[in-house]
Amino acid sequence: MERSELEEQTVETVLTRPDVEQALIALIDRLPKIEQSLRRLEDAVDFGMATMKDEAVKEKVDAAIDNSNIQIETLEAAIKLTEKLPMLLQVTNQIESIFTFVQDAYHDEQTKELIGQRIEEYAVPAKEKVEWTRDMWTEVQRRVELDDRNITLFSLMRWIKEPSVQHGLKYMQATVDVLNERTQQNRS
Amino acid sequence: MRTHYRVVIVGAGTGGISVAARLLREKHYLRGDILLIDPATTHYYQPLWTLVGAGIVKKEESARTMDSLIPDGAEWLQDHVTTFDPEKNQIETSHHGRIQYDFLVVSPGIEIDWGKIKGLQESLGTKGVCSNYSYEHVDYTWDTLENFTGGTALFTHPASPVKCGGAPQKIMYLAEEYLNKKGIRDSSRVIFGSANPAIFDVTKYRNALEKVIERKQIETHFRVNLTEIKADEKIAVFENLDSGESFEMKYDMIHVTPPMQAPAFIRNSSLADSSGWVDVDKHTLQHQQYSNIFGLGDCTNLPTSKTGAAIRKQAPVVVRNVLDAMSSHLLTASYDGYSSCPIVTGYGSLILAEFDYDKVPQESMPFNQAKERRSMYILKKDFLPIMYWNGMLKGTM
Repeated sequence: MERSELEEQTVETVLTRPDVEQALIALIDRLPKIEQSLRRLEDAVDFGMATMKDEAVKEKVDAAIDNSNIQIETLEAAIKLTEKLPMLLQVTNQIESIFTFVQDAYHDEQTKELIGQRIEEYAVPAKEKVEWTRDMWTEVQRRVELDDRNITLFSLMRWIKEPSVQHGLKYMQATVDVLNERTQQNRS
Repeated sequence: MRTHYRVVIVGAGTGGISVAARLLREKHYLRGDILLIDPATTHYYQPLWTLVGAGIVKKEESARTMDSLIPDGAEWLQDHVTTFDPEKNQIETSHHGRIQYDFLVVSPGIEIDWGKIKGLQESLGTKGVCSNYSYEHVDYTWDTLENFTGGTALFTHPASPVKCGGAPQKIMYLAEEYLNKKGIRDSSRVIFGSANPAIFDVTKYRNALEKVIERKQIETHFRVNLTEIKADEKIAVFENLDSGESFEMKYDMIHVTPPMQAPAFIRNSSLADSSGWVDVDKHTLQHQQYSNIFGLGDCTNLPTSKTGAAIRKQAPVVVRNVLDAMSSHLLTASYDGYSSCPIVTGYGSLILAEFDYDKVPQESMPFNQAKERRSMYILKKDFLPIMYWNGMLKGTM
């Protein structure tokens, strides 16, 4: 179809624009390189097609697939794994960050010193409490072994006046009271 | 000395080091092409200072040498930045002349204006005038508490943005408990004078803290601003921010949270907004005028609480967006205003406040963080410092 006069004018206007002119010159200047690249691409396509037609190569590929454990399930798994790659990357990044943090803390002398101090802060009171309890039981055991007295009604009455025994008995009394009240509430 | 770097970071504090470490972890080719500029030789983990002031930890635990923290692959220039020339992509330093950059990250922190309260500078660290906001004087808070024998213990919060807005009240709660333990609480008044209209901005935590204040019988005065200290007479002068009237208050010890502002070289630069803070987009953290400049941390005009926890969330956004800008991509990362304030309410209890731009709680734990908890106290005292030194400053947390 022939171009109208208006279209002719438009093409001429576009071609005379300095930026288009510059682009055309640059394109023409690069033509030898573009031609070279196209030739290389053509060679590569020819090589690929020739390889695919080569029976010997096809047999080798078939044999390799037959001798491998690759099955349709393998390919399906590969596709599923690929689908999960973004999530796996996220998890890997998080694991890497944690690993780097632990590694850095492990090699940081000041942090190790700090951790040591903190452990001691928490461990010392707990250790003291354990030691106090152990010493008390050792003493109790020692006294039991040495004591050859018979426990009489009189000693029980004296024992009952001890503040710590009174304290324990009050707990027992309160428990019995509360239990009774709750039982009566449930019945009514 | 080299005069051009791909990325120049002004300030090697929490923000600057975090960004440098993250950039280097993300893009190995930036090794040797990142410059951190900071005149300080010591880096402080300041959140510990509340605990130092209450005699819980030693202040030396909060300090490390700067050179031990500069990420491998970044360079550190120990110098002051004096001027910015964003049109020419360059900055001027005090002793090393001009340095050019492709991308600039601005994170020099906040400046304390001790001189703004008359009589403060000369009396700090003496006569019962203390402040946990100074490494030099932070032990004096503990000395003062230990030697306190009863009377009025006054705690203040200024009429300016401050780093860690919860710190002025944390030391007050700890002091109150200490006075109780010493058996002098009945002969003491604990008073909080704050320029803010309430104890906390976020309703959920405000409700919880109001109960703490009621339980501890702390007297509160809101919308009042400390303007002068008459240390010899032990008198604090306040201004009522609503009526404009001045009034005096006697004290026996005073803990001052000083007024703060953006550093002078930021305030006087073309990077600042009308209030002096670095003018950045609240979501992308990119400068409002210069597309190759980003800002984070206390020096910016971001409308959120200025905390280290906020910087922890800002740093990855800055890094992602700097890398996007380097590749001429649209900026993809966005900051939601997250900030956090672990409010110590006693020796062994803490409310972990976490919230965003809209003051909506953004809690990380699967339980109600407005409740005072020992576990959160242990987190702050024992775990957060390790996470800071070995995680945040290494670009992994």
